[in-house]
Amino acid sequence: MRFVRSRLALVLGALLRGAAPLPGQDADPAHKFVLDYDVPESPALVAIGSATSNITRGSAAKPFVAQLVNQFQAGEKVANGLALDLAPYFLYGGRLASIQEYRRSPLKRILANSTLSLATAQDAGDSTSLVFGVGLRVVLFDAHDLLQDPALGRDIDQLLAAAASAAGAELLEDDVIEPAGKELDFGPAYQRARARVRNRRGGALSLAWAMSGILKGSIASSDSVQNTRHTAWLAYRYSLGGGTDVLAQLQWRQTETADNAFKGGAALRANTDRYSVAAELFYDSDPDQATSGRLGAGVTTELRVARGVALVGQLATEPVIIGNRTASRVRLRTSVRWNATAEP
Amino acid sequence: MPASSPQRRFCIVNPGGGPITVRLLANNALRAGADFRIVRMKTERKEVRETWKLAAGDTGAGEHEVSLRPRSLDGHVMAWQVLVCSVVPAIDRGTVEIQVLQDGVTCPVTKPAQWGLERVPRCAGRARPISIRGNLTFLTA
Repeated sequence: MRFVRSRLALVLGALLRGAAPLPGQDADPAHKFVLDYDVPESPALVAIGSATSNITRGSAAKPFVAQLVNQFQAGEKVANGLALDLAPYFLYGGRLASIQEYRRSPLKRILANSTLSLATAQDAGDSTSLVFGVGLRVVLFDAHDLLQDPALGRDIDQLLAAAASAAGAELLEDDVIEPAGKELDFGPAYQRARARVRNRRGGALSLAWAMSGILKGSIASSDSVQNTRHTAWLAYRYSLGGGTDVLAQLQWRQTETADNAFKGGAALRANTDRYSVAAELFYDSDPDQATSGRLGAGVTTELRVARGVALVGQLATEPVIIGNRTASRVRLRTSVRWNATAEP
Repeated sequence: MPASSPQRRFCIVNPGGGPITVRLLANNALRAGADFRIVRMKTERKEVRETWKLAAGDTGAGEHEVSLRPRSLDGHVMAWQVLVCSVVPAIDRGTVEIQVLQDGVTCPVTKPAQWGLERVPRCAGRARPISIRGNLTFLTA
């Protein structure tokens, strides 16, 4: 276990080193984002079956998100998991000529909104083994992407230009580059942008792939990786305005017997600045090879308790095989999610 | 940020040429808003001849056409303060530049008005943008 953790730390370390500045560059991390309420689910958690939603959202990527997940089910040990998601484009030196380029170039938008994902959880069937997931998520479009909002840019420009004063600069012997003398309050510009987003109808579509597997004996070597399975899905979100979203998802995955399984469903979600609540219905053609329980339902609540920190809880039905019959049980999943780049 | 030299900046314009255009550029999707003024420096006092606000905007380039005639600019100082912040997630560096153009051609300046910026703060919450203050003196050829 310690070995696996150290390997995981090495992998994560390598990823984050890629995000570190080059020699001579600044050491301050700068991956920041704007809309905290719309943090998408981790693809790797979806692959290992530990996501706190069955119907994921299609919204734009956040630069760095970490999650701790717990699963509770009657008669089972509590299973814990960890997921890290990062958007590598800007972290690894990707650049934009201008906001206009971001708006006009689908390739740049897709690159900027692609996420890499890693997750691990305890294996419910073998406490010495680890379940792991790796994933990639690409946002094809998001009507609520704030970078697509020209009014926000105009508001910020006006604030900057109004606060600038060239008075006295004609007397300078040399250029002076320093933090501005007074703070500017960008909050109202973002509040107006959020209100526009919340009340604007529009969709978001993402495409994701993830692979899950089991590290037998929790030893990270090619021999110990077993039971790898692939999952791919399309997630769509349509905002009706007023903070209400309709979510839909279509998912394909490999089963343990290498057969194909499909899962689809829809959810209705209400959002406020402080919380979100989603009710979901889904159909799974092969829920862990159970013979029934293919139709499921769940409720997910997300409570934002501090800047970038949300508590997420999901109650959802899940089929459980007991002897030679299948029963539908309710499973509780909780997670603490940290969006490291949430808006101040 | 690059070390700056104390050398003053001069911009040579053609007195008989077309109007002067000032261009504010900001790359890497940085937001930049500025205040400019053109001042006639006199021994005992200074006279502000023209002021304007300018932003690089979504395209990363904003322009203003100076209303003063080029022949009247000799010895005048154009001063500015540019405030810069980053609205794009994950970007905190880029380049800001001020260009002076006449008849579509960039005027030769003795010291480029270009600054590579790092640790650019986010345009969010309460923040202090980066301030760039400087000037150039117009000379007629």
